[in-house]
Amino acid sequence: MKKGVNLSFANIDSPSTGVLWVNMTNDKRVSLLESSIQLFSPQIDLNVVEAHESGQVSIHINSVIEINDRGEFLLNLEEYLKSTIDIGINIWHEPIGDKSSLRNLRGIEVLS
Amino acid sequence: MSDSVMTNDGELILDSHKLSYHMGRVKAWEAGERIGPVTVDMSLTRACGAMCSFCYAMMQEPQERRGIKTDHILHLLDDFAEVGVKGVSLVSDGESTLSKAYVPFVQHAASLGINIGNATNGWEWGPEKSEQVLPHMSWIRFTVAAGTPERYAEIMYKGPEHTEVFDKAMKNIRHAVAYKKKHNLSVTLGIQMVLMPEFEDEIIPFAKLGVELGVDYAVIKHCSDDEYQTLGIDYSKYEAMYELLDQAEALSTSKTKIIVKWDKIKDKGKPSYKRFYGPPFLLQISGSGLVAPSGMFFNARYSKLHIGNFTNERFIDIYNSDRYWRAMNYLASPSFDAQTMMGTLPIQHYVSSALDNHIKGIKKITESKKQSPLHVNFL
Repeated sequence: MKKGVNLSFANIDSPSTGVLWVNMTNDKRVSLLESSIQLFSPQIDLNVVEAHESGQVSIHINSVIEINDRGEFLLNLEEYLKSTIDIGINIWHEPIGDKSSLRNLRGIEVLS
Repeated sequence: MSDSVMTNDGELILDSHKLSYHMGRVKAWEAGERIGPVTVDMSLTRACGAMCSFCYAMMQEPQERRGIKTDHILHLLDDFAEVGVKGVSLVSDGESTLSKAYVPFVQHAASLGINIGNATNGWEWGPEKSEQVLPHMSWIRFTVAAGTPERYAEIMYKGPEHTEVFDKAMKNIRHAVAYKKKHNLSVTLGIQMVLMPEFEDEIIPFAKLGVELGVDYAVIKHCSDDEYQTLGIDYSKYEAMYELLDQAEALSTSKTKIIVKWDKIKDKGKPSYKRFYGPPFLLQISGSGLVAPSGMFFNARYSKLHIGNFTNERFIDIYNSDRYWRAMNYLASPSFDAQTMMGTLPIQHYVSSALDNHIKGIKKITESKKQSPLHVNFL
């Protein structure tokens, strides 16, 4: 039987970032992340937009990756960054705004 | 306050979950098995003719959109039947009634024994369309942002002068109510107000409109926002409206129940759970074809949780893939914190809260001995 969902973490807090990460400047964090990402996937063009003290990292993928592969690629990348830089890192892609011209009349901009 | 209300058609649960009627699925999940969703919430398009100021779809743009054709949805429904999906709600991130695939979708689902519900503004839902689907539907919920024409047009369209959209919606809702009565259909008809604090003045007019239309219920619910507060909802302002909401509920009649989703409104936007267990039971699919665990993750921001697109790969293959279960496991892991990493009060909220309490031993889910409520296959 293939395994479903692991239910053993219900009471576990999410890991926080460590002192080393927190004390780095934003530029240093971005630089460290970009060099690690280059080692992880030299063939994918990807840049780091922001790297917060909290571990929330915003990235932008410039290469074309099919949807079937994109999610797994990003989860693998996050795992790698957690294990090599800081366990509190979470990566998120840059948000995209609504493409509906009618709804856009509301002037809502997706925040990040 | 009760989890359910009794309507003329039966017991209606809108402010809770129905997992107690699907214990086979709960036990299998708890035993670590892979389970098919009981319910899928989806849309047949991301398009919509309205521009509601509270619309979460404004925050749900994925990396790419793909057109959903009739062939795609017929295959999708066949795959749903294969994995054990029992109910499909057409809500999600678009106005499904605009899709050419809408009528075939509803009719094919019915032929497979899958229950269908639909939330719509009702603007493009005249008799020629509605009469083809009403006999097959479990429920229809019309989005009615306000009880007065001007405020309705202001909130849902370009401005208060455009009351023609209100008139069109009311005409189509009245027709559905009459058609249900004439043909003695089992479909439940409701209207819904998505409450932002600035719509306080419309709470009572909305409740009165529900009674006047003769729908089965009129529900008032919270407004979701993303974790960055893109819509700027101030949840602390809901409390000041409790008295008005009580007054609205008191307007219920034997025909029309006015229901407030108190559980979500009182949650003030912060869930009790850190892990997000609901999606394997209640999956969401975007009108772009994107399969992701929840609508909370449709935006490109959450690309790591995007599993596939059913227009370029059969759903059954997506469901059986390791990436599907990897995404579900990510949400159940410490890497994910539902309190800080997603928007407020998703469609899976009641289910997720109940499953979290079950796993923690706070409140166990047990099999219900009662007769099944209405819409039991919509968790």
